[in-house]
Amino acid sequence: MNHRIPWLLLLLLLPLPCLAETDNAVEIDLDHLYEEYDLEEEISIDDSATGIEIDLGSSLISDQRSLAMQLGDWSALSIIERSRFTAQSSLAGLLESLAGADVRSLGGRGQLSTLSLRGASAGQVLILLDGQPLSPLQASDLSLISPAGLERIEVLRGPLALQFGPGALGGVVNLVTIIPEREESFPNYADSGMPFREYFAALTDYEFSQRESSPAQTRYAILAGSNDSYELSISRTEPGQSWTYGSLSAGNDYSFRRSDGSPAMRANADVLRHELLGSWQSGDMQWRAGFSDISRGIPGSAEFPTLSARLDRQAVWLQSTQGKHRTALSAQFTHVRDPNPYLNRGDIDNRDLLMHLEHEIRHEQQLLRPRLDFADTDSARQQSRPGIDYSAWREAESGNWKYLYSWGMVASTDSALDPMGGLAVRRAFGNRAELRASLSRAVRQPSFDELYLSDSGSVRGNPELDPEVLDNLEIGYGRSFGRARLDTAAFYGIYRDSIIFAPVSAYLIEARNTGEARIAGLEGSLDWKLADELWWTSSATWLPLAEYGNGIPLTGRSSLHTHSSLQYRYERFSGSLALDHTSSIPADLFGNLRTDPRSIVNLELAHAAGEGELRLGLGNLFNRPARDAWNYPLPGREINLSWSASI
Amino acid sequence: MKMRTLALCFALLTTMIAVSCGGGGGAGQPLPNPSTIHALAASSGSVRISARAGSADPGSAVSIATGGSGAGMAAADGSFAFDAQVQAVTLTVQYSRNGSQLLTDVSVREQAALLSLNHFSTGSGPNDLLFSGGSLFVPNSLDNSVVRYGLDGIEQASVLFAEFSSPSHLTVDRDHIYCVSNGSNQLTRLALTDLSFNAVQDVFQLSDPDAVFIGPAAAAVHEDRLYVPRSQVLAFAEFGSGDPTTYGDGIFSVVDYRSAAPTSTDIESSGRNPQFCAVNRTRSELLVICGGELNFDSSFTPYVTTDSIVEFYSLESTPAPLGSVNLGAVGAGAIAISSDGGTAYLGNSLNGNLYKLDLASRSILRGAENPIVLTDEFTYIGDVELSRDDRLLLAVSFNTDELYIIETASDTPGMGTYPEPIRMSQGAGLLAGAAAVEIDDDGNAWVLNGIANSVNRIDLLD
Repeated sequence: MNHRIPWLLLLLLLPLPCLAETDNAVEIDLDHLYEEYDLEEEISIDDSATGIEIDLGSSLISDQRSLAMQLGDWSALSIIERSRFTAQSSLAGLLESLAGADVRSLGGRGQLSTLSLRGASAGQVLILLDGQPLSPLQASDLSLISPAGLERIEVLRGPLALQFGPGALGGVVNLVTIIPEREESFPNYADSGMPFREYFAALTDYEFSQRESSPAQTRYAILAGSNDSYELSISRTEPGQSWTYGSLSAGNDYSFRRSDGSPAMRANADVLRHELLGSWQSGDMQWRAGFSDISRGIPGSAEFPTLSARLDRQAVWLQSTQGKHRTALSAQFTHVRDPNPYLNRGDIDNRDLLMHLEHEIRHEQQLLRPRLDFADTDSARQQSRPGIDYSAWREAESGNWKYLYSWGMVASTDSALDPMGGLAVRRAFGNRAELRASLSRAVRQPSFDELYLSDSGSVRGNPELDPEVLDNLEIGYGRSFGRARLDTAAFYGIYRDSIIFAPVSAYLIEARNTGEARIAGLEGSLDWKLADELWWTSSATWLPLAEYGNGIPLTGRSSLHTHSSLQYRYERFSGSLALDHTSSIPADLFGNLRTDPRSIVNLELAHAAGEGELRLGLGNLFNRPARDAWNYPLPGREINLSWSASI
Repeated sequence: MKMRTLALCFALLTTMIAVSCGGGGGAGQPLPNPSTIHALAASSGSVRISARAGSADPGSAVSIATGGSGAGMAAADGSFAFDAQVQAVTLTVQYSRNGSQLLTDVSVREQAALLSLNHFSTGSGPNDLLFSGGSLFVPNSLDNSVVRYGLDGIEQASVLFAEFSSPSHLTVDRDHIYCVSNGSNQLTRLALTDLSFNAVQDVFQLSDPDAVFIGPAAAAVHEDRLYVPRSQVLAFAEFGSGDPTTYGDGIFSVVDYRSAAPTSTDIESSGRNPQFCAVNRTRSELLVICGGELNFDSSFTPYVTTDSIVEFYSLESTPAPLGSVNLGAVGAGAIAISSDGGTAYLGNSLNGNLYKLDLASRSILRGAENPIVLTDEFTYIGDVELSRDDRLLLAVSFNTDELYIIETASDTPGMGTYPEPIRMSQGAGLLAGAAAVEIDDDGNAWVLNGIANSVNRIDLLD
């Protein structure tokens, strides 16, 4: 395999930001901010080159890493702040608590987990790490990294995110790494009563004000748990740079009960993961880098010891930002092997390298992103796909009404030129409530796997695929009630030419466009501060319609998913009790197989001592048997003990 | 004697009255007789008018009197079938029987309406379908269960096997049901008399240290002896490489349950990769279908490298070879034997062809040179089944989700009552995978969807 071409291209493209005109002008309409939100803090902006622009006068606030900055007003947005992370958190676990989100998992710490948003499949959800693809050219695996190196997680539901590239049919998740010189958590959004964008304008100021006084700091967290799981993370933050190292080892050989109640043991699901995320400043340029090395078994059973499939994956992310320019490389190397495959199959030994290189240029309210996708693998030999994304947006305001028009296109050499567009309107009712609506068309071009996969078992791609197209309508309403905040949204989408891997013969599974599918639903979230020490947060997603035109339900979508948690904090003690309920999930292509509904209760207790904090986590407290859509048993009761502290 | 004469006279009288009523109307009065004349609308819009043997005078004209247009001619056995264009939901068919002109009103039915799609759901990865004692049995290879369903689709009982057992084939005798698991290489015998269906009576373990995949397949049972064909794969090539699989000599095992502890004898077949065993009870013979060495090219298109051989054995603990039929390198698969034991139909595991054998002479009636071609699409025949009266042959095409219903009198698809295959597609371009077919005591057909995890019911016409 010749890997040199994309690397050379990378080397050529990375210095581009250095050649660009430096333009870090910061314009802030402070009066607007002060008057409307009665801010009391003195704002002090450090005009350092951070890639952040603020222009409240034209209602444009943009941070190349932030969804909230760009689309907070216009779409359903949730932010999980670092203050909500715990040593026991996983990305999948954090995301599952959000409205509209549903996680599908093979079960066990570090095992494969993917995210569905508003009924869209994992492949139809764009997951970004600081704005660049987490898993280039394929559905993202949430287990690649832990939250330890993240500052916050932004989840934008709905397809109104042209700026972030094609593929965000169900929504976008942006994992924002720790910003150097800052360790403070954001104040709780629900308390602010502000729309997101203005809220983040304040936060931006908050961030800068912290910059000068933030000391160098090292934090670490260790965890030991049942199922032979151990986790370690060390974060170092100091002026100009931050680094996080994490490692995970999990056996995941847990027992479960079969449908007749008899006991069985799950095996070969062990995981070993190392990760490193870093961010540093060099002159005018902001650099971010990440690396993940994960090795895991494909879960089997102790009753079938010859099952030996194993996946090793190394992922690299590299990004440089200067002013309006950003260059990013995402690369992922995967090795799947199975010397003793199940039943009548030959050996499997596949190596896949997928790369995505993009250069992003923002100018006023336009974005241009040339990109190059490349695969040099056993599966898709030396396929490359140059392409370009373009998007533009305009905002208008009339009294309490605001309008957003956005349009764009995505073009690739092996696919058509596909236009996209959206129209959004927002009506504010004082500072406490807003109504919004949007109409949009989004496109996802087929991934490399979907187009070119071959020599990968009996599954292959299909170069004849058409892009997926989503026409979406959304109406949302948010309101603060004293100490509570309610956000709701209704959505209706028509998916055309959805791409799935489906059997085309007794021997072959192939990517193919399916017929029209419709998804409609309601989602809501409520954050309620019941007392100074007591919080209640809950979210619910109801999908009464998620099916093809002929009534076949879409695989893997639960019609109802709710998550509620009660959090209590008193002096050095804190605790949370959470209930997650998922209704029956169609578990095959036709909805003839369905999982049983499951309700899982998780309990977490924490006690702060000095600079540290001791946590006890009890997952699946009542040891309820549960399976996910892939029919894999989920862990029973798990006990985790963690200690985190700052040095 | 008097009584007998009186009874005879009464019978003759009633027969005459019946005949006169049937023909007496002449052209004037239609006589409803819908059970013997069918009008099935195809997807193309044309309507197939048909009647079974003895319905009309041989060679006589048959036509549509009202409600449409079209005409045909009765065959030598008095059956008829022709396509008509119909404008109404009811039409009148004019034909002659016993020299009289008859008119019969017939309601037009959509052939697609015979299908009850997804009549009930199975477990995960169903691989076979068996009708016995008024129930349907399904082995679910992925969730490792065998489930008994009522014809209403309600689950009645189930047996759960160990993880990755992959129960895949069933066969039944008067007292037992036998399950072949090709993951665990186990043969499990369950008592049919135990209605709770939870009595596992015997588990017999097949083993072969030389084979990486023993692959026990579609077994047959006769007098407490189970005949189990085995793939006997010695080595697999890298998956997807296109290199051939290494097969060992063909073997079928005879597991004898007559003693307290079952015993097994392995018989070497002359052909490779035996996949089906069947018992010809009329002729007291065992048939072993060796499909030949099955391989896949790099595009996962299957092909065979050795001949398909149907072998005949005596029904003993150590079966003695009686003869064989070589079909050539065609990839023969599923088999159905006529009730008189004289004929067998074989499905192709590589394409949509059927073959026909004369079992008495052990000769080929329709072979590689003149197969019964069901479809030219890329598919394989998942299963074949004959109706109780051997009049209909049912065959399911896996990749095209079709059930072909062929009248054995003509052995020609599209002739007779059913103008086209029953299309069982679930829509959205998704393959349901018609894998097996069974006929129940009432003459209804049941089709197992191996990918869609469900069973369809098809109401066969009288």
